[in-house]
Amino acid sequence: MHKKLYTFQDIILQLQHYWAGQGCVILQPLDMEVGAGTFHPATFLRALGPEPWNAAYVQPSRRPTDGRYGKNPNRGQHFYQFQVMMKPSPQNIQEIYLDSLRALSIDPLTDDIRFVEDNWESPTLGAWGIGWEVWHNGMEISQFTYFQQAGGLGCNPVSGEISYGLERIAMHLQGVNSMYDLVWSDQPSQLTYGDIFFQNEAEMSHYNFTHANVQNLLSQFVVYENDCKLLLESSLSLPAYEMVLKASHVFNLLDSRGAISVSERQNYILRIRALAKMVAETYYNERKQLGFPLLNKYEP
Amino acid sequence: MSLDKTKDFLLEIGTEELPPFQIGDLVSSLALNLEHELKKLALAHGPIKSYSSPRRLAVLISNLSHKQLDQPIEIRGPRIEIAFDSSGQPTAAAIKFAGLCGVAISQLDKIEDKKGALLFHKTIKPGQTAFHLLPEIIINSIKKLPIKRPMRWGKNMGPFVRPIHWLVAMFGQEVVPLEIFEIKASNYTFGHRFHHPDAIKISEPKQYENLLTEKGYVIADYNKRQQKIRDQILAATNFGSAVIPEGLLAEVTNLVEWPAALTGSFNQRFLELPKEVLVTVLKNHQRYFHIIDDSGNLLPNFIIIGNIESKNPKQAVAGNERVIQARLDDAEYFYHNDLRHDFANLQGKLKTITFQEGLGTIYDKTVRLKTISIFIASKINASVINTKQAAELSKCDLATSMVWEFPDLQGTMGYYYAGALENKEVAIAIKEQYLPKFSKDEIPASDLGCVLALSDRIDSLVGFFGINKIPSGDKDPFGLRRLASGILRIILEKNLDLDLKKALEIASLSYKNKFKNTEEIVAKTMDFIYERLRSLYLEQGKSSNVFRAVLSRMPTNILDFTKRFDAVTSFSQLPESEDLIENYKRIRNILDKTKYSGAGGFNLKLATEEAEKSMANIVINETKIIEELFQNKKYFLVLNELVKLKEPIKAFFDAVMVMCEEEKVRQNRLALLKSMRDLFELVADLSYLVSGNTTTVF
Repeated sequence: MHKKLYTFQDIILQLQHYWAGQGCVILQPLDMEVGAGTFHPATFLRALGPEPWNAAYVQPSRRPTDGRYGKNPNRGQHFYQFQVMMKPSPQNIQEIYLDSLRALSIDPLTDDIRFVEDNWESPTLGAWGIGWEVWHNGMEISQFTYFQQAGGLGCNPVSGEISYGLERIAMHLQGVNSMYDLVWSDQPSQLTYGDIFFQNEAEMSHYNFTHANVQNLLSQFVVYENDCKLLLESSLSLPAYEMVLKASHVFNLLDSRGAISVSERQNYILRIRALAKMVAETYYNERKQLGFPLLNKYEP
Repeated sequence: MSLDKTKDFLLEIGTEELPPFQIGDLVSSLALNLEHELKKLALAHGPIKSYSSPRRLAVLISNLSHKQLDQPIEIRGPRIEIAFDSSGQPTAAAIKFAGLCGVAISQLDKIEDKKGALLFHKTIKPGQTAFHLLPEIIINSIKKLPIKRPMRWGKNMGPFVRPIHWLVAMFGQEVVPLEIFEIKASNYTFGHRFHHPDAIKISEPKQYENLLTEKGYVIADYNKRQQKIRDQILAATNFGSAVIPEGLLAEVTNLVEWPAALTGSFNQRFLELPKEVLVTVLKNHQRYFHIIDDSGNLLPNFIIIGNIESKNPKQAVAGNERVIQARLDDAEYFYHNDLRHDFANLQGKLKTITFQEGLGTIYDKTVRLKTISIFIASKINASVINTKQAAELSKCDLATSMVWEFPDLQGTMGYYYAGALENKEVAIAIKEQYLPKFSKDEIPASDLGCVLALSDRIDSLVGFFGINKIPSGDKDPFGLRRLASGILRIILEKNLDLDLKKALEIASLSYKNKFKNTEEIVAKTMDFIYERLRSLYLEQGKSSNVFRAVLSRMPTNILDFTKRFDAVTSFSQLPESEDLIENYKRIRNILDKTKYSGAGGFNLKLATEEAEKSMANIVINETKIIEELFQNKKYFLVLNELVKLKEPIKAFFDAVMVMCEEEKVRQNRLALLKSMRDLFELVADLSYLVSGNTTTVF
């Protein structure tokens, strides 16, 4: 059906190339465990304050509770997002996004592409936005959001955020029914997603659901929480933010271990949110003291 | 007004994809706001038509006047004696007035009123042109749109419902000059996002709809688009029949500009899953229409309403089928996983699920539900043994993977999983406990379902009132109004003979020592329920006076409340009712004024006048009759008996002076009045039936 086989890595390269052409800096993934591209400081922190910012990057994302031991063709505890963030959101950002699909040979006059209302909210980051999930023949392939608030602070100017679900798009482009059958690269010989990640999915599922050390995790959470607060006292917002991310991942692991009851769960979320808010405020103030340096960089 | 003095007006706001459930409200408000603004400015117009799609809100107003009507203006000036001095020279006041009117003093008129003559000026304020007024009319109409969650975009543009991309504002062939959020109005619209992304020039407002349909691949008329979808679904259904829920149809209509139906199918083996699971995935997650056979069984096919005429429909269908396959794979995995566990054993797991902060776990709730349900079951003759089991199992499905994954299926999954326990009645009750889910939804069909549904709601209401999470104004985050309305609907539609206050008391006590002020909580909850009952009655167009009359007696059995309500309504239509109520108020006023608080009845022997004796005898007699009727809840007959008192009361007041000198006689007469008052007040406080009543309102 498709003339060209888009390997998984082709898709990443294509998207990076495309968004570089739109003036985005192409960053590399954050080297920490996060649940989504939004947690990368290049999105969450850069959304704060008046400085313009355009960036795109792949973000490996971990959601321990979604682990299926590699047995579910569509869900895993580790997957890839391609994240784009444009601030202020360009007036034609939807069109720019649609052109990125065209760049992947998706033709909106063949496939039914729709923007279906889905407002995004991250309770742990104290962030929310207005937007859509983008449907491609009924499948959600991207989340599209206009940030309204991050870390409890109003966003002005507003960032436009796009998160592509790379596995889903690749499954469509390659016409396969399981993410493990995706061709990651085809030279010199075909290497599949499963070849690379199946063992990881299986082992990590065992770890997330059975072996993660609950006692350790519980005490780690407290350590990260305290360290975050201490770092903020020294106005070190970026290391403090790393502590938020670590605490957040520890919480996700505790959740997948079933170690947290529903009422405790809410409590943990509120604790992480409180940290994220403090980090956001400190970061904003630091940038302000620096005179919001990027304001000059983007002057036309 | 002749037609050549009017032109058509078109406003279109082009946006990014709008929230499907708000489009209807937004466009009808836009039309209403425009109409209102035009009326305020005295601009006449013809019919108004609105258009909407996921990416546009538009209003076409036919025959809008060019100009406001000229307005005659009359201005009153100073009185003659102030305007002119003794020598007839104009004073400063007259000069100022003339200046204000912009004319010479000699051009001012004089008129006479009751107090004498005064200066007067009559002029005509010429109407302004519609073209001149329209920008403000449009901006005001847009500003007042009821946007639920306004957003900002770009360099802090907004707030609006979604980013705006184009604006059409035309009066006849002219563009109305105007700008919102840096978008200038023009006479160019845009077609379908993919089929016709280019601008389309509109030369006349009336062309709008046709241009969009013929060139733009957009059916802008909501009703036409919906009809087209309906027709397409029917045409695409080759066998069986498609189920077309109104809510889904409305949503889908607002998700597409150019509908095109496609038919997809899924693997037969998924038909072994509970039907509701399949329907939830197809309908709620994917917005597909499902298909059933003649006996109502689900078929493995569905209809997709897409937004394009695809170059390759097969590819579009295959994509949609892949999504369904993935979703159902997951559902199947969860379902089989759940079936491996003993359903009744899940009760223990409920201890880890919070019901509500401050109100314990779901397990705690089921313990309370057992107490409340057994009380209710005993009152309405439902099986107590089944009730106990149903209450215990009622929430177990909240601990299953299926409900974790598909929260809408709470109750339904319980029905299937409990079905394995082979008590059909219990399984059905578990399913029905969440009914009614919304205002027009069905109520439980089975008695046991009603018991569980009532208990669940009563427990929640009392609990939330106990921790003071009470709705205020528009805010009702826990949906307590819906819960209370559900209770009332079940009781009323099922004619359940239940003392609701008693049930609330039992519910508050089953929270054990959690609440100290249980009486106050019960009273507040009961008041809240009465308020819901009032809205329910008012929605049905029933009298609020009758409601207040009955409410004053606070019947805690809702069925009893309605019996009284019907009786008082019939009574108020009797020819004698007005006089009787007047009589009653007279009696009450005398008693209130004298602050009569006498206990004990009157003494017939102390009656001196004939009319008094006769009144007393009638009262003794009627009291017996009325009390018996009242015991049997024959409320209309009670009120109807009062008619017999009308003439005697008149005769009594004509002949007898209640406030006589003699203390004993006076007290005795007051006691007689008190007995009469009691008869009047048994069913309701009838004084509310007369307008102008100033008694404290509940």
